[in-house]
Amino acid sequence: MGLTADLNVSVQSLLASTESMDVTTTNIANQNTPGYARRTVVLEEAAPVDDGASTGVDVKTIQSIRDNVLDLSINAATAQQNLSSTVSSSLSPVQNVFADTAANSIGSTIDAFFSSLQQLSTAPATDSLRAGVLTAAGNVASAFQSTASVVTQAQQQADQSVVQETAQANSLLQQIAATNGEITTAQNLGQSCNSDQDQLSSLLTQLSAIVGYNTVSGSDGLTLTTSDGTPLVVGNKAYALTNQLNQSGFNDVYAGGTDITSTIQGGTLGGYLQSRDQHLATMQTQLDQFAFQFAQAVNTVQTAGSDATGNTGVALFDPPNTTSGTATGAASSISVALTSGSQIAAAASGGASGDNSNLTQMIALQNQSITNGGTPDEAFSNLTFSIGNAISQANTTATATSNILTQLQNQQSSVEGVSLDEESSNLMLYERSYQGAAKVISTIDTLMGNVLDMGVTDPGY
Amino acid sequence: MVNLLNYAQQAQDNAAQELSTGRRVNQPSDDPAAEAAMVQENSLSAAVDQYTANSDSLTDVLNTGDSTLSSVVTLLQRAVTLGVEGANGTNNQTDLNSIAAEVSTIQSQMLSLANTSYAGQYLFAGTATGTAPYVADPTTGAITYVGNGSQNKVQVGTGLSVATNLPGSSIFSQPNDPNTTVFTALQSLITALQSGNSSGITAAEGQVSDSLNAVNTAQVFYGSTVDELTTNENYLAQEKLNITTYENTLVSADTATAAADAAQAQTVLTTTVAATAQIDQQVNLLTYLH
Amino acid sequence: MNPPATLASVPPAEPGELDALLCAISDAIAALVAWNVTAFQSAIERQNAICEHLALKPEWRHQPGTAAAARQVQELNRVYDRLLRHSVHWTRTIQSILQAGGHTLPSASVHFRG
Repeated sequence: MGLTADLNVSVQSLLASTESMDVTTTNIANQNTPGYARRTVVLEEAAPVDDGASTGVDVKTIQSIRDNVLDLSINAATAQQNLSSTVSSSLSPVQNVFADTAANSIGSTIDAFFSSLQQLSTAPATDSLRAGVLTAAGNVASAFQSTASVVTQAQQQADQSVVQETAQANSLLQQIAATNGEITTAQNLGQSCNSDQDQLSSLLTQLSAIVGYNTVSGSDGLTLTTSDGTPLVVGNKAYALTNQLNQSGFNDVYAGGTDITSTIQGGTLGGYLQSRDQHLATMQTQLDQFAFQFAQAVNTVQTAGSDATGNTGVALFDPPNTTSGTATGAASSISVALTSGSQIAAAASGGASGDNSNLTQMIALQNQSITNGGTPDEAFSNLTFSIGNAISQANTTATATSNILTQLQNQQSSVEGVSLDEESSNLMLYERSYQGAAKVISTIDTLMGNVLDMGVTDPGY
Repeated sequence: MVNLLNYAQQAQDNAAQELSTGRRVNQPSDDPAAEAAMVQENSLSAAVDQYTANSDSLTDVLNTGDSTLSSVVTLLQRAVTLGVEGANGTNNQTDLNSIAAEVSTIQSQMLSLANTSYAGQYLFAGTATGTAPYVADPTTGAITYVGNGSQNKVQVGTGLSVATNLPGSSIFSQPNDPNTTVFTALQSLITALQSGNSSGITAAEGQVSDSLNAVNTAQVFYGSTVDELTTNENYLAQEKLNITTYENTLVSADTATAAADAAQAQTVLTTTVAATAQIDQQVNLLTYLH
Repeated sequence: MNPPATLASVPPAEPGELDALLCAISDAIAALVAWNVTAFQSAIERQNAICEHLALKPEWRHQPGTAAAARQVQELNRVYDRLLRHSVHWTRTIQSILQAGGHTLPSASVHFRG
């Protein structure tokens, strides 16, 4: 009663203020800690003592301000941004062999091949011109082979990265599970777990950079799943992420015993998989078809005519034979089967030695839809567009999500982060107030002291 | 802020590359549609270059044929003159034999000319260019055509092809009578002169004259084809210029476009958050917002 | 913040004057604790106003029960004084830390908010 209660209030307040100052100091010191969220002191009335007098303020459990919706948005944007930038960088080496300035591209060597046929058509008996056609055909084969090789290399690079990123994600899942467990334990005991929450937030963002996932919260704490619901982390248990070779000789991704490869649609891992299994795999198939169909068309004309010695023409390219063989692997194995220019069937079947009418047929292939993509030029043009477009779109998305991330992170800073400016500003304001405050304290003391010194009798009630 | 800096840096790098290469589009991802169009334009350009090369090659061989036939015409004109001279009735047999000897020389020269080759291939053999088209029988001396009647065609423009040769049978033979050739006509004249048969000489001279007309008519092919090729080359040059101009619009750096690109980059920076945020529907927000 | 319940039985010198002073001091303490400079400054102003008022009317000292109330005020004031000195010291320490770290004091700082 009386002063004792007031002293109690004062002491409690002193303690509270000390803790507040500690919190502010901690905020400033942790300004750059990833995942750190500003803590504020939440004050509430302490439980009253028996006489009903207020015992002043107490410090509740320090809570983190956390806008989890914002966190989720940041993680989603992180996953998208990493996916796009990974696809772009993974595909980049491949587009160099399709640029219009690329020396010995498929397109330019095919153009030169038809030019060599045209030149030969003006003088079909000229040995040097016949040899020129063989050389040009060899360049076409080389172009197909080297382009296919670039695509294969890019796939293998992406595959290696899939393995690395899987291991990285696996490690993060385990850490998330452990942290999850600690949080649940602490919450059940009613204890504070702010630094664990910070840690979890940081781990989830790191995971987003590698792999996209869905989150559900439940009684066990956090559950992470793939986009189609396969569990990755449940409470304090993490499912092991591993790799297994598939039929194409590339690494698939498994969680527990389930193949989750096709469900990974975000992050660097998603990017390498998309690059490897969609863009590059499609490119490889299209290259094979292109090479196969081109070779087949040329061979068909070649075998319909007569060569320089009057014999029926034989296949110019190998593979494929004109009536057999499949397209798979054609681009990486196509080669010139003829050994001499005299084997080029310039003349029609049974035609005279100077006849060029079969050459005319072969030249006409340039403007015929002999491949799935149309004429040979159109087929190459389509491939150029598709690889350029895949990279261009990935770049656009990466840039856009990068900018969105910046905005989100700035929002996060204003909500969660510590602003040195704001803390410092507060301190200055208080500094300016102190002198005034101290003066008043002194005034009050004097005023009260005058009363007491006058020896006014305290009636005691 | 780091991301924005990266973006600004990238934009600056692109601008620098444009300046140094003179091209706005330096790789397919810069502008996939432009690159796709560009590779097709490159094909067109290569084709036009080849049409020009074809035209040059053909012009050479056609000119050779043309000048050869000019020599043939000169020889035939001389033979006609000799025939007229022999038929004028003022010659004695010695004179006629002398004239016959000169016609015989003309015939030999004619055989050589008919078997003219260019770069190892016979010009007047049709497409059987590996073998001399006119062969003299070692016993009878009769000269027969062993080539064929085929023509090669060569492309010199989009959808434009020209014949590259005229078979000997279309030059040295009478149009309505393939068995009557320059050679048979000349032989008739020689025989008539040697026999001193005046009306026979006149008749033979008439055949030679007809052959001359046939060669004259046939020769037109060479000159007119060369003219056609020359005209076509002007067109090819224009087409090449059109292609080059179009290619520049596709890929060249253009300050107006570059400025527009920079402005667009600024717009991208203000993309709103809601566009790509993906929030799982299952998340119970209340449990997250303390 | 509510005034301590014990004051209810003490008749104030001026109706509510010392009561209000106690209130203002308590509020100043609470504002320091909550780092609320606006509330802090407002509490100081109120204290100032009451003191000026009391100084103008010295007869308040002769009211019954004033001594007890005055003693309460004085005691709370001393706690507040200790708190203030602690706060001043701490504030200046933190400012030094910030300045040592190269952070310029926010007189004209510009920072980006999302």
